[in-house]
Amino acid sequence: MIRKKILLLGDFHVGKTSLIRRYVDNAFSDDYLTTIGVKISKKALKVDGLDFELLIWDIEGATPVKKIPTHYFAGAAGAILVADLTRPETIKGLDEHALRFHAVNPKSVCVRAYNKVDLIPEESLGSIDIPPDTFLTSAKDDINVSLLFETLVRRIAP
Amino acid sequence: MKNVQKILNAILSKNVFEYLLVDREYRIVQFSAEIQTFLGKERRLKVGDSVFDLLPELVGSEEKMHKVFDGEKSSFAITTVSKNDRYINLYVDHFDEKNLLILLQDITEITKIRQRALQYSNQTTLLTETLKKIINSQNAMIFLANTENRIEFANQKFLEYFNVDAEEILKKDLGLYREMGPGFRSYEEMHRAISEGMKELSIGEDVFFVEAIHIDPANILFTLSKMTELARQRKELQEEVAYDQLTQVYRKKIFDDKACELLKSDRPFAVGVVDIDNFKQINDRYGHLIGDDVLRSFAKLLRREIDGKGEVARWGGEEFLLLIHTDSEKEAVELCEKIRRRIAAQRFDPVPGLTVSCGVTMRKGDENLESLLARADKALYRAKGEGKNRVVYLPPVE
Ligand SMILES: Nc1nc2c(ncn2[C@@H]2O[C@H](COP(=O)(O)OP(=O)(O)OP(=O)(O)O)[C@@H](O)[C@H]2O)c(=O)[nH]1
Ligand SMILES: [Mg+2]
Repeated sequence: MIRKKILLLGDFHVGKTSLIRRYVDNAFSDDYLTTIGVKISKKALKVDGLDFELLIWDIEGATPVKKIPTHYFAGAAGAILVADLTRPETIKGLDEHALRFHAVNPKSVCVRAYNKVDLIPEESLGSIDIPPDTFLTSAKDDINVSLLFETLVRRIAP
Repeated sequence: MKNVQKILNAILSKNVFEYLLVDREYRIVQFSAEIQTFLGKERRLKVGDSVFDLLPELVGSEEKMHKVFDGEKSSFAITTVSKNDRYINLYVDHFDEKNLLILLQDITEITKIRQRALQYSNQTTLLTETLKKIINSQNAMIFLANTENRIEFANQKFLEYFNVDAEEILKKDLGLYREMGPGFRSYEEMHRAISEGMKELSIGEDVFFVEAIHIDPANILFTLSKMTELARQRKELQEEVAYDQLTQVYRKKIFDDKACELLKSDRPFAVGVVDIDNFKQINDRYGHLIGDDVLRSFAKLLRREIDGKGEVARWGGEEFLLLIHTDSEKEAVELCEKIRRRIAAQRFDPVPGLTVSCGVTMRKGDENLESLLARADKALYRAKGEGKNRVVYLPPVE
């Protein structure tokens, strides 16, 4: 069994905890309880015949006054950078999260989640600029959540 | 004995409640009894268990742990870890060549307080973001200025229009009020003008509908909505309708509206009726084009004399109405007298010796427009009867 540490990074309130909750427990809540520090969830999965145990780090979001402490990044194989489609500034912030993460883990990989796609009207979806390795997700309506995690695991698989 | 002391010291210095010792294979060799609280009931801890099963938080930190073993690094920490409904700090310390000391500090109480503060702050930030979005999506320029002429907040439209950035306006008084309307000396002065009835304000070529309110004693919120082309056309049209085309003074209807409004209030004012003497003869003798010229010059003179003191309107033909804001009959009569003298003194080429007659009266406390105009007209009639080129005043009590 291969054990891997992965992180969810992004600004506060973008849906990091909710994506993990959807992926691990297949549950969702509309309530917002901000994460402080870090909480680890485990998830076993099989990808391309290999058994993985993911240790998923749900880290507190960055706020206008506080960045994410980098000591949490140590030894992570990959990260999911999460933004909120209804808050364009959270998308702009992703590059800086990626930069800080790669500074600690130069060989690790990232995928991106533009979350809360359920809130975007159908007709506006076409105008969203989607970079490579980016998924439009919804923790609420369970859109692309497993695909997001599995894609990351495939990238970090030995 | 020495090592026990070490554990004790570490515990005392970090206010730690639980500890673990692990060997180079990362197997647990010793632990304090209460460590079980952080694990939940379903797992029972045994000597020989892998520390990574117990503390998956340490997965990824193998390299750092290695360095601590070798004394290359004396310790490291992972802070604020949520575990089994509690919060802990994890400290990894050097113990001896064979063992690492891992300390678990329970920080649940303080972290719960911090969590609530963070929750509140994040929610406030979200609310602020939303309000900003709303204000920035407005088509109007919205800004908050204080009585010291600093702009505390301005929306996107405002920043774009004046080509300034948000930081800049916060820092210093850019004096933008000087560019607004007639050029104000302060935002406070601008606010005063608006509360005294100013509804429009121009900046360069643009015209804005303007509103202002004091949201507290020190801050004034201004809203400037650009007049659209349509609104401008409508306004121009209204003005066109309001003015007599030949003489560019108000039509009688506008005079009536203004006078009626004043009659509803208790503000004092005078009404004058000015009529050009023997105008029919001028038309007969010089033709209507010259007659029109005379009317135009005459109206211009009236406008100039009345400017700021009241309104001028054309009643029809060669008869004009004056609305004079005053509570003094003497002042009203003097103004009409001055107009009479000016006309008599001015040349209206090629018409020689133009004169006017004028009837004046003051409003009564409670009367309608009809009776007011009738009295003014009666005064004019007397002026004509007494030989023209004169002003006659009729007091309201007749
Ligand atoms: N509509 C919708 N709401 C979502 C979605 N994901 C999360 N939310 C809501 O967004 C809010 C924030 O979600 P969280 O998962 O707590 O966000 P977070 O990134 O963990 O926030 P921090 O821990 O403060 O950094 C909650 O009210 C969620 O219910 C989504 O896909 N769609
Ligand atoms: Mg969270």
